[in-house]
Amino acid sequence: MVVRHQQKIYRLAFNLTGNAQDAEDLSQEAFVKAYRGFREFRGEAEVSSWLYRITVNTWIDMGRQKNRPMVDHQDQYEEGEHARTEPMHDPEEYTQAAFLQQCIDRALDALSPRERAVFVLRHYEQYKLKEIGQTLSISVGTVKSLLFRAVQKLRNRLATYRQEFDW
Amino acid sequence: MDECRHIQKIMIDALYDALGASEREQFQTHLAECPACTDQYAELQSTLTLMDRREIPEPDPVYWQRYNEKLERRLSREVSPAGSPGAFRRNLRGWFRWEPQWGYRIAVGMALVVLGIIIGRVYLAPSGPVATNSATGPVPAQNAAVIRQTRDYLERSKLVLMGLVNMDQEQEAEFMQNFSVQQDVSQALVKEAGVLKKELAAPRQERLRELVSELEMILRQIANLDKQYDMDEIRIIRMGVRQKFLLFKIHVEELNAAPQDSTLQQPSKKLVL
Repeated sequence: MVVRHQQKIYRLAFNLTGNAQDAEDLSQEAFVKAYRGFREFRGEAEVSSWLYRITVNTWIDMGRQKNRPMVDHQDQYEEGEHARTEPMHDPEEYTQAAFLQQCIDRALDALSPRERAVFVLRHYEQYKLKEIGQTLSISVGTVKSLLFRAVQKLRNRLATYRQEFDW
Repeated sequence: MDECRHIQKIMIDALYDALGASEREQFQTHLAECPACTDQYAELQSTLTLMDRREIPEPDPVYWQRYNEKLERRLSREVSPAGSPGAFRRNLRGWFRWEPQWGYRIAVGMALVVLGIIIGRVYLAPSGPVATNSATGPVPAQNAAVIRQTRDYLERSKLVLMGLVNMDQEQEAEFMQNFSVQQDVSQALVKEAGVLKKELAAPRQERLRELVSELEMILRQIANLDKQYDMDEIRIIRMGVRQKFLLFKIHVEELNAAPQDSTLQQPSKKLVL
């Protein structure tokens, strides 16, 4: 099971955490939980979906333990001046491609864990809204709302670099 | 303004091309008349395009080897029940490692030949009411769920059987010390088999139904093993798995399922939770 699913789970973990070390830790934690829970797994979901669910919820739990914002704290992550003007590294120190990756990562980091989970599942994993709702145990309406807010935040975070990336 | 509010609500669907025909028309009509919504939509669309440029590193095989070793160590440390860590690690093999051994590779080769024959018969047939690419035939919506369930059943059965078949002779005694997990899973799979067999009622699903029945028999033997783990019984079960070509048959079904996936709209990402 590990060998079969590890690349997909690692990719999901990387999208959620934003770096290789955390992606490794998260994906391994998910496999440990899967092994522990395999006895109770009754096949209501596909194995890959079951692993995705474990991974996403493990990541959200990790965020909760680290006191990361779990309920989309508007004061901390609201769109606006704070988000737009936070300084970033001097672009001249980087190649444009590397700088772009950093900008995107920073923008993703500005999302709350639930916003990021919803965005990653929809945008990078092509999950349908209903599937995301089932994975996170939330309604489709909430999924839509989180996703829209996430995309708006990403736009605001990346707006500063609009000219540099010519988009 | 009310219309703008409504457009805001459906904008995320528009961005991911998930609007129905009438809503799409309404959306486009509104954009043609509303510069503010048009600008917002364009900006959000550009944002998503930019997000597509995110790159994810693809680790090499050396990385995965180290990754798996680390995970094995961790499982041994954190999850290992009674028994030595070494025995536990070996017990993980069926669950953990899916690289086919030499005999299994031959089976994969044979499976490809069989698949070629199936595809040839289906697509090169001179006439026929429906072109199909698997034993299950075209997948009506009501059957999609049971087929997904069956595939998943096969995958989990395969995990149990791989552990049994790939066990080295020298490691049998230690392996069996941690056999209770496989027994529990087998017990659960036996229960599921009864339901699945009833649901696989279509004539085209006969082969799948038979495979589930064969698996049920073997899994029942595993589940009913005496707690003393008679090694002779284990060997008989293992022989049964090989003689009935169960892993081979599962693999054929997996291969058949691949082209069918397109009709199920990415089933690997489907959630039926």
